[in-house]
Amino acid sequence: MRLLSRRTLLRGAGGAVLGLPVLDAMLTIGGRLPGANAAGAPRRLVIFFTGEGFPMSPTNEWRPIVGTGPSDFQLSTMLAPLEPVKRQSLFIEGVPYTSSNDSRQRAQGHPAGAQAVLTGAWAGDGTSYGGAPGRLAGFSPYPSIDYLIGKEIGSATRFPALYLGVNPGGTSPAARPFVAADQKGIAVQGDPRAAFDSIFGDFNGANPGESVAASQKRRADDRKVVLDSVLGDLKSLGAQVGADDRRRLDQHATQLAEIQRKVSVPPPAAPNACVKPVRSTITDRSFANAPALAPAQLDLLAMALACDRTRVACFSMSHADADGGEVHRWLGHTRDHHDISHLTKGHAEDSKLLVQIAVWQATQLMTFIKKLQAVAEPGGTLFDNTVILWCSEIGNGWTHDRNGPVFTIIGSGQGYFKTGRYLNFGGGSKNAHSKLLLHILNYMGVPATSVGDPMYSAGGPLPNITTA
Amino acid sequence: MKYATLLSVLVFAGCSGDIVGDGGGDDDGNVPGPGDEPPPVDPTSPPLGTIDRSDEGPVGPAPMRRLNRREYNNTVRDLLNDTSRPADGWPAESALTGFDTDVSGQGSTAQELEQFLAAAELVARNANQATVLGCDPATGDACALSFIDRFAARAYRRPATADQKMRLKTVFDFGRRTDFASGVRLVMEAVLQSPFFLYRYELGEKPTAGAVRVALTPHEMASRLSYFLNGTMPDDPLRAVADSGELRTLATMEAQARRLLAKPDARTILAAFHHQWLELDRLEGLTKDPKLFPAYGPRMAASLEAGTRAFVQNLYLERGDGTVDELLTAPYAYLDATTASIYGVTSTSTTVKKTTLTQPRAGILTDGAVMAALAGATETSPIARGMFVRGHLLCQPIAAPPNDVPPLLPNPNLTTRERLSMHRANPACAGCHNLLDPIGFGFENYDPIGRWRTTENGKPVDASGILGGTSKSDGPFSGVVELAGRLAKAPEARRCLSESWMTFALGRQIGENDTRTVTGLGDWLDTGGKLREFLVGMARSNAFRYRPLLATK
Repeated sequence: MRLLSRRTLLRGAGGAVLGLPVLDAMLTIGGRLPGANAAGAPRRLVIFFTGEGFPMSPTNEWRPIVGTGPSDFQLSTMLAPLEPVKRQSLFIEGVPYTSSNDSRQRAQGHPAGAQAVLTGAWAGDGTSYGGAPGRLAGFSPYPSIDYLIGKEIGSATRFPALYLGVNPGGTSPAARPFVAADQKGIAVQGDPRAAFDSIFGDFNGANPGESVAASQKRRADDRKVVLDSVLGDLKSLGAQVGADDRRRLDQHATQLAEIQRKVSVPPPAAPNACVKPVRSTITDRSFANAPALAPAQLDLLAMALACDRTRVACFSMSHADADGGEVHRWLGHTRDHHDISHLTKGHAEDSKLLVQIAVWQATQLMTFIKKLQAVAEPGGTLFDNTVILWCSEIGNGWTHDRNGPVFTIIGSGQGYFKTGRYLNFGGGSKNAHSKLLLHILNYMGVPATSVGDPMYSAGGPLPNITTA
Repeated sequence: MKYATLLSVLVFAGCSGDIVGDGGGDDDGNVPGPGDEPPPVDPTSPPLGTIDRSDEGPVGPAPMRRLNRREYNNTVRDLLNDTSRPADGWPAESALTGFDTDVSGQGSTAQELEQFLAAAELVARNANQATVLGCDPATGDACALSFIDRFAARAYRRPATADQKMRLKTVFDFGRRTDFASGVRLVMEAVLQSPFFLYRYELGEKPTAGAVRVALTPHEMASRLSYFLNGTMPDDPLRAVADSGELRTLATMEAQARRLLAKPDARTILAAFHHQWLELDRLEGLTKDPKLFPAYGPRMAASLEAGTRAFVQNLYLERGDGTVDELLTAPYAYLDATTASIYGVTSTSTTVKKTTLTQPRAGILTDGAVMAALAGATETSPIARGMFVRGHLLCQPIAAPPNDVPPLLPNPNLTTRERLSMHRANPACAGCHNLLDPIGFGFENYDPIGRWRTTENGKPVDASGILGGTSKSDGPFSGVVELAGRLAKAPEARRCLSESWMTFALGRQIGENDTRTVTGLGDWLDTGGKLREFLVGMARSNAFRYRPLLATK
């Protein structure tokens, strides 16, 4: 409980401690969630996306060393940093992104995988180079699970989902696995200072000479009136423009009305475990600074979850269209991740480098998990109420493989998932991928029976994954 | 390869998108705008009136466009004198066409609208009301109404309607309960989040019977011109000719375009276009092996791009006589003390200066920033360089490799060229790589940071290549200077430059109905058109001045 021991409770200008018992605070907005545990703590999802796949071929460096059954295994070197949470994790191999081979897909390789991994769909039509001969690709025609969950349960928190990452410069379908409605890729924020401002900016309390409560009330009232005017403008403009533009304005208005609903009431008291983080001083946002950036961004996400600013936290790092820029120099590497992932210097040498990268990533993840474990919540810790999905857009990098990727699910999510196991579908269940995504949707309270194109999750979620 | 367009794909797929209009001309003119001195037009540049050839056919779509990060920063700077660049912290746009102007990537996610909310509150709070207000608060409502009228008209880039002003007055009255300044601040917050501010929408003039397109209104045209050539809201002289309706004439439009091109903001547009077109965004965070290239770092990268910027700004803006030929073949570079070694000269200058080079160089093709961007950390990338020429200079994008590509194992005894030649031996790869590698190999004299070299791994560099896929310029070449000579003679290259600029200018993918403008501009360049007038030509083209009839259903 290192974090809690040195926490400073959020204080307003008058020195008043803001905060009610955690239960009250979390239930103030939106009422009790379908996905809350018996003690009332809400369920959370973290997506930890790392691009370029893993070293899994010709030798599988990811695969645990298997003993007598699914619960008897040792973690590989690559996964070893996750040893402390091995019993709370599901290591799943052979999760083919079958939907990415759909006849309607418009891309190959990295963009094809990135548009499938969280959607159960494929890279649709668009204007971006996707790699398939004579045609151009776009984002997935079906949204990703983070968006779907945010849409379902996001009204309960300030942000339906948050997206932070390291060096997310790429704007193409290869670099943006998170997809909103209407084939819009969701941007990832790579600047921890700007991220802080947007997530915790609201926590800035009163103006001089004003009580915290009065300040918050005034701000909320102002926003209500200002946004009423903007909504009036949206309606007025919508009546003048063509059908396509009107649709965009309608979406804008719908989304803005939702924001208005949240910001026109004073913010709820923060949960007890919520500690307003310190604004980062990092200005170098290049990949070379990842050892500083990754923890900074993950810390913000941990506290955004602890403060119940959102229940869906997405992190992404190492992107296939980073154009040769992602060199893990702090590991002694001189070549970029994508180049190494293609084993251009040979299997033995480059697999070693890829394991080093994955170990470093797993270490970042474990540090983040420890942060979640340090936040006390009803029924245990924040980690106990969280599920983390670690995934990539492809399986092994050098063949752009989408037939045998892996899903690492960490955290039982209040006992929802049956963890402590290594499973290998080995291609036997061609729709395992979509059916796993469906489990995550259901866990987060989305009562869906399919994800992406229903044909890839026909028959419902995979059996024997949850405790139900 | 970051972007490609519909037109390109049609070309690549073997469809012909070429439709050449018939003869004719438009009324041309060269009348200076009020209160400024546009630079003289090069008399040898052919007249612009030939470009669209009195074409009255359909034009491409005109989707509503939202201010991007660059435009947002510039617009609040000009509207409120706010130089804080509040949009810098926003994540990059989904620029599927390769340009940040692309409308197809613009959604309305919670994240994006939250950014507008936060920025509006910040900008409104920091605004200096004494300078913005323009009237005495003691006059009460009269001052409030006059402020709303003027501020909304500037922010919305057209006169504010009674309806709009009424809503803003309601906001003012609410804030006024605290004090006058709060009322003004809330009005600013409402304006800065209004769709009339955030979006550029174009309804066009009233259609005439039987027309398939309508001209943009003067205010819509003023915004298009200003955001295209200056990346910001219309300035006072431009707003004046929009208000008066003078902007309806081609003469005024051209004069205004030339005036805007003389403003400092035009230089930032040149920088923005080339940063994206030349894929210099790759340089951000790009590292090179420090053992091999100890001199390379962020400072070097910044100086290299400063040189690229100075080169294109001089060619397009400072001189009236820059040509596509020179863009592709210039034997000089802009360099400073940091980048002199890249170009094989010495310099003590702290700013980039035009310097004639002795080693073989060819404009943007051998530009240090471009060469560094299109290379890996340890070795060159003939594929990336070939893709760049094929995709960005000829607008003929090539497919990505299929799944399950076996790696090319390293061999210290081979040059990069020898190693890559192996996958052209594989028939599955040869189809595409035959279109890429023989171009990319021509660049092998330029190492991963753009320095001239004649050997690699102890072996002499072979920079011979073959250009294919063009109508008039196919054939063998040795080195980039010869390749540049072939490209400079290729009509495809000039049409592709037109297409790339139009993609940037229109904020959308170029389609079938834009072909006449794109080929018209390319043909005009073929007849000796100069680059500054080329930008004016785009601004007065049909694709730029008209929109299709409004489809309301």
